[in-house]
Amino acid sequence: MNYQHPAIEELASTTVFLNPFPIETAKPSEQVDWRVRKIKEFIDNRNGVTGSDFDEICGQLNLHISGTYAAQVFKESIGIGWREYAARYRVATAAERLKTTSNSVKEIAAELGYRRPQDLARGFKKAYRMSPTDYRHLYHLLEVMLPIEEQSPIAVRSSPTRDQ
Amino acid sequence: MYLNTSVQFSLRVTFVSARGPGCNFTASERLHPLPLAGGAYVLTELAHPVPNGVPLRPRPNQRHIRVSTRTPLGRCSVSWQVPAQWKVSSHVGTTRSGQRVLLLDITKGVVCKLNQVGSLVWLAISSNPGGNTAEGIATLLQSQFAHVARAQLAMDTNEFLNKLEQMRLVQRLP
Repeated sequence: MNYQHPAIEELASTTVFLNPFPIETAKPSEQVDWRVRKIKEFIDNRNGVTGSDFDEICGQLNLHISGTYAAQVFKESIGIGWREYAARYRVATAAERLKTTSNSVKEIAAELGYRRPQDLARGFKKAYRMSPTDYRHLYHLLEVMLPIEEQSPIAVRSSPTRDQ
Repeated sequence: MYLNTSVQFSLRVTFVSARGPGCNFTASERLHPLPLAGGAYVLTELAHPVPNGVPLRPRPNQRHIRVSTRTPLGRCSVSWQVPAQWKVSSHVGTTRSGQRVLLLDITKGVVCKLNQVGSLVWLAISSNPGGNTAEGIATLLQSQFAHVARAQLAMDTNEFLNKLEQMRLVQRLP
């Protein structure tokens, strides 16, 4: 081992374990376009694994609008683009599986359609600033130190300010 | 041990027992370089510093002990600094991921990761229920990194402990 100055890095807040998918929609849910709701449902049901052809997705869902227009409406309603939304949902699903199963990172990456475990690790690092393995270790430590209430971990919430 | 009695110097020693009877001190192997020329004095009782026949008995929580004594070549003043014991704060949980230590601070709700050397320092503190001194930690690091100067290890250890203390991850034992 080479010597380096001892150092500490702050990774993240513990909220990433309680709510790994902290997306708040830009509009209150009742004002979200029905087509956006269908797209979101589609992405959610597939754990974020959607493919890349948005025109095809819009066709499958019988939305009768182009992929470009659908992407624009989606971003206006949700606050982030559909690709980003799907990517975050997929990572959040991986986080849930790390917490609730004993499957290896490699297995979880394969289940969620990542080509390589490194791709999952990269997405994880971007979302939570830590590796999937660290996430699992820390979650189990948190479980021991604090009782964690059961909750819907990847539920999308509406923005509280706009709900009023 | 040679010591110039004309200067006041600071001597770092390993503190063995603050409260036990006798309060023995053991001299550190790494003392500040002391001049040997002119008026050098052989200090033979470092292992049991009993100036003028009076055993040193530091009070609880006492951090510094200063002793003045007469020597054949004049007055000699010696000060000992009792090293602080460090221990992990009770609200901090630890787990390991490979060779790295991961920390979870429940009160602040944050998670941290230490690099490999930081992890060694942490394990040196957490593996000893009574805590560990900076000196003890530096000794442990020295066994792993023999090629690194002792002074560098001691300085890095102190800086790191102070940072951990600022983050309230470790605390000095009262």
